[in-house]
Amino acid sequence: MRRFAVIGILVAACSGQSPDAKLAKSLDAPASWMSGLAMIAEKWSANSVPRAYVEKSLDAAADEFDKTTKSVRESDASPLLRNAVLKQLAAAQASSSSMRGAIEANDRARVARDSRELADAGKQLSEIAEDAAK
Amino acid sequence: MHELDLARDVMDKQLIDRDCTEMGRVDGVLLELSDGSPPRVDSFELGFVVLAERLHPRLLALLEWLRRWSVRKTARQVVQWSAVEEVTERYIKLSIDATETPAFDWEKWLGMHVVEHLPGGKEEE
Amino acid sequence: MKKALQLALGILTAVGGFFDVGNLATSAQAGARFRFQLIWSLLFATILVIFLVEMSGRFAAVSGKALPSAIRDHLGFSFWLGPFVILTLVHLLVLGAEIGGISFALQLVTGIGFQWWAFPVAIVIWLFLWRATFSAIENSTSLLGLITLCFVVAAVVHHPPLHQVAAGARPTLPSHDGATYWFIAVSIIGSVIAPYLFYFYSSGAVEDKWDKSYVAVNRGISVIGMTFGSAIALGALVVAAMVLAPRGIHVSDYNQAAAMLTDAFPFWGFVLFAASMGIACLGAALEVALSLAYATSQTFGWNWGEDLHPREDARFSLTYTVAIFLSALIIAAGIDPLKLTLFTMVINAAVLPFVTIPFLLLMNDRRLLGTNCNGWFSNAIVVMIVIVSFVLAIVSIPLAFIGGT
Repeated sequence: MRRFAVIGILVAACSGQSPDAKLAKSLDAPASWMSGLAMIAEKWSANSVPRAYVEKSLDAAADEFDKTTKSVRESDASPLLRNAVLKQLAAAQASSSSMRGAIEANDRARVARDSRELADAGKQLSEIAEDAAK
Repeated sequence: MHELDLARDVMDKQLIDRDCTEMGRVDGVLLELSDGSPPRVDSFELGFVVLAERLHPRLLALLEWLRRWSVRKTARQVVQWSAVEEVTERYIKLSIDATETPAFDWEKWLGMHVVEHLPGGKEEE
Repeated sequence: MKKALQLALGILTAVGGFFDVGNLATSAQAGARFRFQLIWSLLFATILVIFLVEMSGRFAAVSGKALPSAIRDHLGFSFWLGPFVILTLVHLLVLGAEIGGISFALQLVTGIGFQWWAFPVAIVIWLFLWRATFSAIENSTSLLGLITLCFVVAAVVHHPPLHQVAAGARPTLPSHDGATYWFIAVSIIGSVIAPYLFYFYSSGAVEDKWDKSYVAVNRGISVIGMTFGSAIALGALVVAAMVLAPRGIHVSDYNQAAAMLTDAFPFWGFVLFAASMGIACLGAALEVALSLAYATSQTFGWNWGEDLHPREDARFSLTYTVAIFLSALIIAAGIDPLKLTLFTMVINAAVLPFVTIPFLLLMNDRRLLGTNCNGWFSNAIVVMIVIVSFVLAIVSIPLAFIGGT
């Protein structure tokens, strides 16, 4: 019985979160993916990881970006926050699809540029999430 | 052992047969009641049905219903106390051959109908 | 001389067999998100698991009984049924997570999606168990499992700031993401004190025909083996803290962790990661599948033993067969292996009371253990574990819903 009470309290505490804070919490995975892709690309350029792995990662990251974009659009968070987040997500989507092409073409310079952009987007998204969680 | 605690030393104990093959556990104990004399341990029972009975009548009903698909000849295997050879801390040893009893019906059926048909399931030459 | 050899082999087995998918996932997440701050939970869990593993080995050596068997013997079927059913389900989840780990390792090296690997992996695990003897399985997978020591080497190569690593040994409150912090802390504890460990270890001791003379060997194996084993998890945590945390990678997917060794080993790092993950999970999957079959056979008193031919213990062999394929279904369905792992580790922590309370009762039974009963110190530790596990059981379930990613 007590266990249920604790769950109840926590669920209540959870649902009591502001929409902004709730949105901020969901940004962790996409931000982590942006930084992750940046590292994976860097390692690909250094010949440390195989191409198949990079492609799988790009697929998984693209799924995550799409999923988050959809949930941000449906969120009740403030438009200011939503737009800021969508901007970073769009930037990451653009950089990662450009990276996919660059890796196929073996264009290391472009991969390096996309990687920097992704790392940047990841950092900014984390900062947005941190501010919104406060 | 001069004193035997039924709950502690007999109930749920591992049973082994005369060849030391594990043949199940003591799922239930039956006492014989007769007027004028104290109850006497008559036999014990083995089987999922006996276990179900200990838990809930509904469960027993369910198992009785499931029995239609069972390959076991008798749901309740009764072992007479007279078959007990030795009671130790680890097991109760019986003077019978487990593989000839219902306790091994499923084991034998699975061995013949499933294991045999899996790669490497045949006895090695 | 023979004992010394067995001690050495036992330690190798414990080290090689310690690290599994749960340790990898939780250490990587802990290091990536909270750098060295969660080291305390790993140390704490290691101390507890040393005591529990030592007890399960001592119990088996002295009484000649493995734990599931002894619990039914002495505490009765009605007492055991609930925990048995729950722990069987947990075993299936853990087995699924390990199969997910092997499948993901194969995805890393082949590029073919992990869900396609679930059944081929299940067949390999099954063939291992079907054909090999207990000691062959134990020795081969755990010797190969020593490859996971590459995490320790990588951690050393990175020259972590030792004062910060040491500071992490002291429990502190998180400055951010409280729910996630506790979620990971609990999942680390669940990954180290995995219930299957005790059933497997004590049943293994019975398979290896341990007797009272093994009490000292057992102590050595549990203390040294578990300590070194957890050093591997610590290594993974430190590498994640040095490589992933500064880049802002939080490991929301196994792919994000896969390159973590390439800073230390640019050429071999990726393959080492995949090999470590695959082998560690294979070893653990074999142990979990066996543990489940041991527990089931002992509960119903069937004939059991990995050294018997499957025809001689059909029910035992078919139990692990069914378990392996049921667990593979979870992965084949495409459930994310990392999410499954983290969720399962928290569930591991939540079911700890079912593991620890029988321990407390059995380890104090003088009629069973005589002078090898628990002393006051061990009892104090077990009582503490029981209390901690109750707290964990209560907090972990809500954490699984709000702390996970």
